[in-house]
Amino acid sequence: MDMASTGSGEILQVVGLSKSFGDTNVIRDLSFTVNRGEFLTVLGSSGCGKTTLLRLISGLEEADGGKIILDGCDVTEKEPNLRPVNTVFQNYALFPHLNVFDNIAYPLKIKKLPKDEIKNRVFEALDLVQMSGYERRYPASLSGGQRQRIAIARAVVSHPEILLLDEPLGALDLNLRRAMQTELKNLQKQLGITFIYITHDQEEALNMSDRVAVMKDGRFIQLGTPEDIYDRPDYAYVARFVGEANLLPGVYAGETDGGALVKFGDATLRVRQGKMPHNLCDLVHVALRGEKITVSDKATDEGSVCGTVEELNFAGGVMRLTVNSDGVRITAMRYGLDTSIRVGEQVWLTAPDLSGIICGNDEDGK
Amino acid sequence: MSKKRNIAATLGTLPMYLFTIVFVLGPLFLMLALSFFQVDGWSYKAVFTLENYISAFSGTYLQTLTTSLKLALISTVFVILLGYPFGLCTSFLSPRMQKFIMTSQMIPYWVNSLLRLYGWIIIFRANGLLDKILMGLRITDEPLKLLYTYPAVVVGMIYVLIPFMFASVYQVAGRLDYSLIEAARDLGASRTKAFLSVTLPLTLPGLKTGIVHTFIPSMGLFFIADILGGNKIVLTGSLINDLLTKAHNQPLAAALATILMALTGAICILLLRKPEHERQ
Repeated sequence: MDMASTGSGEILQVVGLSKSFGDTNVIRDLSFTVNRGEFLTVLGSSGCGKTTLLRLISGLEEADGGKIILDGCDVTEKEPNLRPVNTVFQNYALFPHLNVFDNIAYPLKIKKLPKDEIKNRVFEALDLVQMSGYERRYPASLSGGQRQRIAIARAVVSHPEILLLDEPLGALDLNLRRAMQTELKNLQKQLGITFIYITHDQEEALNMSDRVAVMKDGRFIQLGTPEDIYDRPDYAYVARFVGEANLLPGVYAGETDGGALVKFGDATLRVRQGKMPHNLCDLVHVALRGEKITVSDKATDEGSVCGTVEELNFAGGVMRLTVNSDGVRITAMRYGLDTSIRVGEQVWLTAPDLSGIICGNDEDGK
Repeated sequence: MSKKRNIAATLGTLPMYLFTIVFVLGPLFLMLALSFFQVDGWSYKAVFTLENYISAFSGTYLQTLTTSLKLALISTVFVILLGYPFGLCTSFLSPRMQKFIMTSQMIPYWVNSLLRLYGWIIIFRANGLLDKILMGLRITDEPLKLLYTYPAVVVGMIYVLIPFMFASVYQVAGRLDYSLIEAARDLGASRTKAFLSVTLPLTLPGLKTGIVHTFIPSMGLFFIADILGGNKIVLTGSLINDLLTKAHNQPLAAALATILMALTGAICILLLRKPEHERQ
């Protein structure tokens, strides 16, 4: 990467960032760039370092090494109040002693803007989050969803370059969370502000983002579009974390045109190559989505795998079948209720050509 | 709540109510009545007069009252300046350090407060501990003779009163959500601005309670002035004591006590009003 060419497309560059607390390395030599106006989601389980990453960008935490370049300026050593970045905190962090108006006006008053402008911008922000009329209420008298909206209004009112969101929907119930996902995405388009969004919820990540970074042990193990992450996972961890893909152990049997051959027992499946190189007869893991698998009660072609139905889960709209094939448990999805399949029966599983992909071992991801 | 439980609850609290009425409100009412009675030789007559208040607000009595107020104010200011940061900063420490500080703060209080005050005499007296240390370090050439001076009294007052401020501030600061300070910094506030706009207003209830718990006793702690100030600093509390035990002028003592009560009561009401966001 050419460091000198900070194009107008890049708003944030993180270079070799590292941070440790005591003996624990929370962020390890992390580098990535974020484009202006982009919605980037950092997806990871708790303890992967995603909140620390956010705090490093906002300046609430000091980096041990590396650089954070914001809009062409090195802000690594800058105090949080001097960075054009605002955060929507997980617990909202609304000031309890100030009413809604004064909460939203807080960053504007610090900038010492004229009173009329403060008033206009606060009402504009309230309108944006559909909370007009609430300006005189205190945070204690608002519901979780309402506090959420006020926290967002307060964070965007001073037009930051980047908005950092730390699991902002985590405390809301499912229906409200879904509605807020759409609203947040629309808000981001409307404002044109770059969003860096942190979550452990893969549905949120896939639904809202332009790009998703899957984080593990202080590193991004994959950074790509939601389609990349879902359909072309680089590592077994990504395949498992995003949408619970099947990871089938097989033997690499060479290349074919546009794909690779992998042997599962007697069956051979043509799958996509993935990013990691392998040698002939290597043991590889193939990620295969449950919804790609077809279940039938007789062998259809030579690529089909035989197994016994071990478990049936019907979760409204989707039926999950767990099939045991020679000790390997495979999950297949079927849409709608199918009463023809019963536990203990023998079934044949097939997957279309090139539907699976070879993933790298998690060890390689470290 | 059921009727039976209501009756039981009332019966349970009744003794305390009776006690308060008989032994707290009763004497207060007597004191108030007494302050309007006429002095009659070594005793008093139940004849209404404002004379006691007129003399309380004149001459030596007024001077004593202002001395008391001044000392209370100075002590309170020092207690705020020392106790507030102490309480606040303690709440930011690790739980282990907090425990250590709380314990080490409490240990001296296992000793009787009067005895601890006598300890200050040993420190402050001419050629005492303080003088020896200062002279040993060649900071001063001759003894400072701090005992029986105004600063000695102020130090004694601060020493006795600071735990009240510490406890009040620490209790409120301990409940302060640190992410609010971070949010302020994130939204553009400097450290100073974040303190003034978030930390201070949110710990103000603790500070106010601390002031009440400092200022009110400081108006009455005359024994500190007596022990560490000699006879030089006479406070209203000491005067009331003398009027009752030596001069037998009960009405004037009652008037002075009523004035003290009114002053401290007014400060209480002023400081302990609830802020708007807690009333909503």
